[in-house]
Amino acid sequence: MVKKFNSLFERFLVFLTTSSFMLAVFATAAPVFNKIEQDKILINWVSFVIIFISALIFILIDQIFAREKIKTYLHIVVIVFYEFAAVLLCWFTGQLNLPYVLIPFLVIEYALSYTLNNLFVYHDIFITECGELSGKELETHLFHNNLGAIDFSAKCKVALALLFILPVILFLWIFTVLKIGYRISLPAICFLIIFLISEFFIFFISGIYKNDVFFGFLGFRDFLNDKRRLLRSVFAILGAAFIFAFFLSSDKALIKLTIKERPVTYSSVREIPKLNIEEPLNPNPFEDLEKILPFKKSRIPDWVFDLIYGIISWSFIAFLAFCVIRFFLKPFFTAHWKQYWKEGRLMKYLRYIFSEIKALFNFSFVKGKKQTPYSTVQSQKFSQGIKDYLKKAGRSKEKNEEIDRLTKYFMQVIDWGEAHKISYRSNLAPAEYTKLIENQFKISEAKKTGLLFEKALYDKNVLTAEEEKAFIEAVKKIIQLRPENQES
Amino acid sequence: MAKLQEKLNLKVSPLVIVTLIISIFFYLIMPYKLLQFICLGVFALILLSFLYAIVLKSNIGLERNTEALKLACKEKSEITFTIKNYSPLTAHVCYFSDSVPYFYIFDDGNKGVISLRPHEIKKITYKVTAQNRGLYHAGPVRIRTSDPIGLFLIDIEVTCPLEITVRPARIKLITEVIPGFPQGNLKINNPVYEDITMRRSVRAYINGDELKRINWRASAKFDSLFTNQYEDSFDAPFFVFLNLAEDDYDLHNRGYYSEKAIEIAASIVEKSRLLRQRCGFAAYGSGFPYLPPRQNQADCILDLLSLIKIEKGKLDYSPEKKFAQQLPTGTLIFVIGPREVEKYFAKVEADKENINTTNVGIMRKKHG
Repeated sequence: MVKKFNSLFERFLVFLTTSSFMLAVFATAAPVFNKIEQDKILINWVSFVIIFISALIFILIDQIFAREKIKTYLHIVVIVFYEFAAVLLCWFTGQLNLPYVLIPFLVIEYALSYTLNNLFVYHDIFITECGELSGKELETHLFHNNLGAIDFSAKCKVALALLFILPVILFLWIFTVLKIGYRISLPAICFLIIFLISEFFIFFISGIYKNDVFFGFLGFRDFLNDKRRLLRSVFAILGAAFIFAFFLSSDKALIKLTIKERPVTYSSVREIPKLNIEEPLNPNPFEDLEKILPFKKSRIPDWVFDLIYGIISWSFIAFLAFCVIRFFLKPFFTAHWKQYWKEGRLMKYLRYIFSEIKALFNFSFVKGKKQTPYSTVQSQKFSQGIKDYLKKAGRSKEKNEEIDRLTKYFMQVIDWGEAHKISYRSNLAPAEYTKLIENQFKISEAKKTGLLFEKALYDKNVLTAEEEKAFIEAVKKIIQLRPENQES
Repeated sequence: MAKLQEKLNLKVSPLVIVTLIISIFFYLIMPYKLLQFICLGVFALILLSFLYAIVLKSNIGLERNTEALKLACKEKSEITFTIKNYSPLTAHVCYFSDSVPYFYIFDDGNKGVISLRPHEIKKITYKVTAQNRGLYHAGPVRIRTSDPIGLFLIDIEVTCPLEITVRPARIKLITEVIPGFPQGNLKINNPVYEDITMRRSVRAYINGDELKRINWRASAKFDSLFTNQYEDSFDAPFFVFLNLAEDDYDLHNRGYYSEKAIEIAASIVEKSRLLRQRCGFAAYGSGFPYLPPRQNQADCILDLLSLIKIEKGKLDYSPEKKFAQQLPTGTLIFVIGPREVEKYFAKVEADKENINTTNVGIMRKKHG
C-alpha cells in the first residue's frame, strides 16, 4: 500500500490544528482574564510563544514515542516534566502569573496533539502491515490480519469526534466573549481561520485514509491516480465556500431570540418558624462515660499510639513518594533509553524529517506529469449518425453487416484522433476527418482508411476481401502509432 | 432521512447532517459577522459537495457493447462495458464491480478503481470462462464514487443485463460427410452430382457430349465446339438424435457421460453449420425437442443443447425408424447415446487420432 500524503504534511496539519486552536482560545481569552488595573496578567505574548513552541515539541515527542513504540503511560511522565520545565521558565523570566493558565492548557494541548497524531500513527501501522501486497494477496492478507484496520478505525472515530467537538467549543466560547462585550482581535480571527482550514484538511485526509482501508480489503493498493487534481477540486470548493460565506454574513441575526423573565409575585411573607434547639445532653460523651463506667487507666501511654500512627502514616507517604519518583525517573534508566542515545536515533530522525521536507516541497512545487490523452463522449455520436443513415438508405443485409463491421474499426480511429486532440465534428466526412489526421501526424495510412471507408459507406457493392483487409490493417497501424515518437 | 438518501442514492454520515443543522441554526440566530461567516462557510461547503455529488450521480452512465453473449464451455471470452462521464466534473475515485456469478474471472477484471475525468469514456474489458453449460446473466454493475471531499457517497447499481449462453465444450471429433443428394453447397469431384445451375467453365467438345450442353456463343466466337462444365455439388442434411434418458445411463457415471453426449451432439451441429448444411435435432431429454432439418437452425440447436437436461425414463424406440419418414432423402442421421459415448471414451483412452462419427458408431445409415 502506498502512502497518499507525505507524513510530514500530516504532522504539520496536527501541529497547525493544535497550536491554532490553543492560540485562538488564548487570543480570545486574554482580554477576559487579564485585569490590567489589578496588575494581574495571566496571558501575554510569552504564553503565546510557549504554546506555539510546545505544540512543535509535543508533536516531535509523539512521533518519537510512536516510532520507538513507547508505552502510553510514559506520556504522563513527559507532561509532568514539561510542566516543571514550563513553570521554571516562567519563574526565570519573572512571569509568575502565567503558570496558572499555562499548566492546564499545556495538558489540554498535549492531549489534543496525542489524539490527533494517533490517527496518522495507526494509519502508518496499517500501511506498513500491508507491505508490497496487492490484488488477491492483499485481500487475503487483510481478511486474516485485520487488527491494524480495526485499530485505525477506532482511533479515527475518536479523532473525528474530537475534531467535531473542538470547533463547537471554540464557537460557543467566542459567542460568550462577544456577548459579554469584548471584541475579537485580528490575530484571534487569523488563528481561528487557520484552525478551521487545518481541521478541514484533517477531515479530508482521514476520509481518504478510510478509503485506504475499504479498498485495501477489496485488494486495491493504489486507488488515487491524480492527487493534484483532487487537491485542486478541494481547494476550488473551499474557496467558493469562503467567498459565499464572506459576502453573505452580516452582523444581523435573521431570527432574534429574546429571553423574557417571568415575574414572580409574593402573596404573603411567610414567617420562618424558629426551631428550639436544645443543648445536647452529653457535650463530651467520653467524660460522661467515665462517670458511668469508670475504666481502668491503661498501662501503655498515649504517646506510643501516636508514635505508631506516625510511623505508619509517614512510611506510607514515603512509600508513595518513592513510587512516584521511581515512576518518573525509571524511564531514564532503562536499556531502551541508553540504546536510543547511544545509536543516535534522534539525529537520524531529524535527518529523516529533513528528507520529508524536501519531498514535500518537491511535490508542491515541481510540475506534475502531463495529462494523458483520453476518449470523450463526443466521439460516440459518430456511430449513432451512421446507424441513422443506414436506417434511411435501403441496403442489403450483407452491406449492412459490412458497414457495421467497418464502422467499429473507424470508431477506433476517431477515438484515437479524439485522444490526440483532433476532435470529430458531425459535418466532417470520413475522408475529411482522416485528412486532418494525415496533415497533423503525417500518417499515410489515414488517407487509405478514409477512402476505403467512404467507398464502403456510399457504394452499393460490398468491398472485396483484399480491400477490407487493407482497411483493417491501415486502422491497426494508425491506432498503434505514438505521435510523440514520430515527432521526435 | 433514510428514505431521502435511498431516493437520491447518496449516503451521508450522520455527523454531516448534524453539522449542517447546527450551522444553519447558529447562522440564523447569531448576530455577529464572524460567527455567521463560520456557519455559512460550513453550510456552503456541505451544499457544494452535495451539488457536486448530485451532478456526478446523474451524469454517470454505463452501457454494454452487447446484450447477449455466446461462448463454449472452458473457452475464454471477453465481456466489455463502457463507463461514461457526461458531466464537466471529475469522479476522482470510481469503483465499479460487475456481477458475473458462476463464472471464473481472470485477474478479477470485473472490478476495479478508476478515475473519470470530465466527459471521459472508459472501456472495461475482462475475460471470463465457464465450466458448465447453461444460461447465465451478468449484471448489475455497481458504481461507487463520491464528491472530492468525501462527504456524500454515491452508490448506484446499473442494471445493464447481459445474457450469457454457455454452449457445450468443443471436443475433437471428425464428422465425415457422406455424399447426400445432388445440387447442394458441398463440392465433390463426381459428375453424378452435377449442378446445371452452377456453371464452372467451358471446355472443348468431346465426342459424346450432349447437344444441349454445348455453349453456342463460345463456339461461334472461337469457331469450334465448346461444352459447358458444371460444378459437382451435393447436399447432406444432418439430423442429430440425442438420448438423455436417465435409465439408459449407469448411475455412477450418468452426469459425466450425459455431458459428453451433449458435447458430441454440439460438435456435430457445429460441423453442419460450418458446411452450411441443413440441420435437424431431436432428443429424449427435457422438453423432448424436435426440429426438422432446416437452414440456419444450428444456432437454435446449440442454444437448446446449452440448456437440455436428463429426462427420467428409458428410450424404448429406435430413432432411425421413428424419424425416417419425416426426414428428407439423403439425410445423415447421427444418434448419440450411452453406448456411443462409451465407444468414444474407449477411442480417446486408446489415444487414437482418427476419432470420427463413423468409427464411434454415431453416424447411422443414411436415410434414402
